Amino acid sequence: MTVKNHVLKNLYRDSVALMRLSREMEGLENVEQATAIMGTDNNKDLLAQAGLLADIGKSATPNDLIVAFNLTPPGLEETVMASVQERLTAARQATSGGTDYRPRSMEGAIQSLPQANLAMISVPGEYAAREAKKALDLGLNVLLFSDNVPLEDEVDLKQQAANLGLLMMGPDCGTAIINGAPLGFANAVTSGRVGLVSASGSGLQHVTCLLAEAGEGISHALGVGGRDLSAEVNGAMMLEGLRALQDDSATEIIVLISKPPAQSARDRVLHAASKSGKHCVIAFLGEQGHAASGGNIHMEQTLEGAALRVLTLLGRQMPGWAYIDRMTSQNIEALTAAPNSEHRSIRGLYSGGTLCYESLFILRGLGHKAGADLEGVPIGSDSVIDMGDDRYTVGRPHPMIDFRARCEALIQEAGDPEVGVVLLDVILGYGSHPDPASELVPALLEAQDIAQNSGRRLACVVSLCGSQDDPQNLEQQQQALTDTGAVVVHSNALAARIASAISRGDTSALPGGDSLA
Amino acid sequence: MRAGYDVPWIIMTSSTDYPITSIGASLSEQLPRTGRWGTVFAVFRRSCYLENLDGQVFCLADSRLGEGPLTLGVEFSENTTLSSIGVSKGCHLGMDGGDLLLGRSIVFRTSGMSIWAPERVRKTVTPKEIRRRVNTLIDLVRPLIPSDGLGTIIPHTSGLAEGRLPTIDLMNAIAQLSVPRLCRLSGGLTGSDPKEVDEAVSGLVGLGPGLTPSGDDFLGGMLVALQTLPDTASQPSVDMFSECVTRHAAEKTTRISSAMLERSAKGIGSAAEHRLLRCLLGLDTRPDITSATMELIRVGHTSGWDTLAGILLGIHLSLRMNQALKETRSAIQNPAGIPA
Repeated sequence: MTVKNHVLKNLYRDSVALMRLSREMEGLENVEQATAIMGTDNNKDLLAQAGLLADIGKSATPNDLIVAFNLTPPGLEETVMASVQERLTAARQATSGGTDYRPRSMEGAIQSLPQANLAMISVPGEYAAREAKKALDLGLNVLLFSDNVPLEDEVDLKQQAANLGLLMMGPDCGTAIINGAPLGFANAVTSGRVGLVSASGSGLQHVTCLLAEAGEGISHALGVGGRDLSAEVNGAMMLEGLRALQDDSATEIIVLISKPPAQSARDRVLHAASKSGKHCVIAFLGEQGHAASGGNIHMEQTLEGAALRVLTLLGRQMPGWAYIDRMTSQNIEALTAAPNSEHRSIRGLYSGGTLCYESLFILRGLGHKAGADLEGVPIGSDSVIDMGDDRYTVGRPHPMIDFRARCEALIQEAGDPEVGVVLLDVILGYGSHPDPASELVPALLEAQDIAQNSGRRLACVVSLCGSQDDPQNLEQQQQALTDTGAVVVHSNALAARIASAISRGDTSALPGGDSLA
Repeated sequence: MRAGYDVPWIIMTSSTDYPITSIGASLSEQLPRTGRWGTVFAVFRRSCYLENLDGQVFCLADSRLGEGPLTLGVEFSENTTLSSIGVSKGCHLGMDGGDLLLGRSIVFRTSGMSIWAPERVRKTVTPKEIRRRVNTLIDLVRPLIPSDGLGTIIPHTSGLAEGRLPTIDLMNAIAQLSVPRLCRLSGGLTGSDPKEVDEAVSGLVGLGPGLTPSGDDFLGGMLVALQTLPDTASQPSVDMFSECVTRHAAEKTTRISSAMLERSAKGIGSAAEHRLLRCLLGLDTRPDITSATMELIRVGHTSGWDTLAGILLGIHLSLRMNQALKETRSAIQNPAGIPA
């Protein structure tokens, strides 16, 4: 083993960059330990204690950066240092924002790209409305990624867009697929005959993935922001989106997705859908009542139900994700027969807000006293939380990108003797973590070890949302997660039902290899 | 589909104005009438650090990063990075015709800038209420505490103030090293023992990862908390602690960190620190602990968490020192312990 130090005089990098450099160095071949740390006396003592201080590092001053690592076997110092230099240079370029031309105003952007017809805006909420209005004034459709935009601004912007015949997607819209181009968090799905308008990002991703897996492609998938069906906004953009899909010759079936809407918005949307002349599958999640069809309107309560209804209308066979295969079934039976049958509360740790909401109402519908908070859960009760909520994302990236918060919560819940089932979602696609399994697998294994060491068995149920063409490789992700002993299914509703069955030690309500329909 | 929904193109926008929105109070006193003021020695994405002719460090930053005693807050548009507008190491900042000029062509307008100074806590709630608010905060952040840095000490700050060592086996290396030193520091402060304080501070200054090492952020938070609690009966100990940190920081840590600690020793931290302290201590403040805490822990990789941990230990220590002093006074007035 060789210890190497490299001292970079008067070099300042921010804390995040230094942390990232340390982690990336530790991932290099032949590097056992590595760190990048300022050369203070206390830090040099720290390096010495870790066996990472070489003679050259001892000469560093508090304003110098020490890059320290050890190698097994020795002899590859130059390769590692070249890699470190490359990363430091990349960090500097990232800091400078690159050298490509970047227009400094909306007008400048239009001049440099006259064919542009959509502006994607991601600025702090207080400035977002002004920028969106500017874009609409220039005749551009808008995808507004920003959140914290005042409701009255949203109403005004959507009114203006509707008057101009433009789409105003958002605010807080993170997902769309337009003419096959994914925007924000979206999956790689083929073009096809199903068009969607959704007030939910993860709901949109889930349904497009379920359809893609069954062989059905997407014409357009339009996000409209979570407040579009509130009483104030009154479905303004869901109606515009519906109208656009109605006029679109490539779209044969329209899917509309939202959490329960305000009554007035619901009435407007249902009225417009009934006049659209196309089959409309409407999933107002968790709405009281039963799935129903009348004329061209088909009401569903779950995302899975909406996807199944579309496939039925298109004359498709029952898709694979609607079944529990033999191996998964055996795994569920084994988990159900585990010794801790009296203590099997469910903890749902979600990154997708709508998937979380869907699981919550499915569990409640099955008679679980499920809460939506981790704190103060009564003994014997269940909880399903949205870790993408502001409470859990402050100071960190969204849990679809950064799994640390969920992994930490998973380990913590594994130590709770009342917890028997952990329910998770993993969302693949553009914008998401490049390899979720690499983060989750160690945590899943550790969580199960913790439970086992206290004489329990922890069941982990994963709802995996992704398409075959996503950059993360759906198959590899599924295999890696399944290899941990987790139950992995693609339907979020099915995952919630499986969690319920294991929690109760009774799988009789599950399809057991038959169709769910 | 309408023609408007053809292949989308993404447009980003930015502003070209650079008005200064705020300046730290003591920094404003150093503004020159004309000529060179400082030279850039470190450039980050949304901030840069400068050193003036007297060797004092200050910061020019995007106003969204928050106000502070050594900060010139500038209103940049969202996508502006300092490097992209031409700020680089070695650039000179000077006063030119009433505005600040960086390099040859970057103008920061001073008209309309406000002077920032922390709002003081004038009257505190009862010690019991302070403890209740602190416990609320700890319950709030417990599931979010990162495994890196000194945030992991947060649930143990009350015990540390009492001189109790928590179990450190599962903590990270920095926390494992820091905890015994913090325990020693607590004992030194409550026992007014300068040697203990000096040795503990020496072991904490410049310790840990980051541009402002974790130990420095912790000490900074602790100093601001101790100096913020008014009517504290332990001012001599706090003064001794402040002098000790300033002395060690001048030699043993980065110049950015040293400048931060120098201000903290005078009880001036960032706006986020003071906002949280007002929420935890103030009688006349609506205790919006959640948003104040979130604002602080957003800072850096672990800097905000390290500062928060220091603030909490500072509060617990101040309460303990006050309590101890009251008991001593009571014992002197009533040495036999006879009930009145």
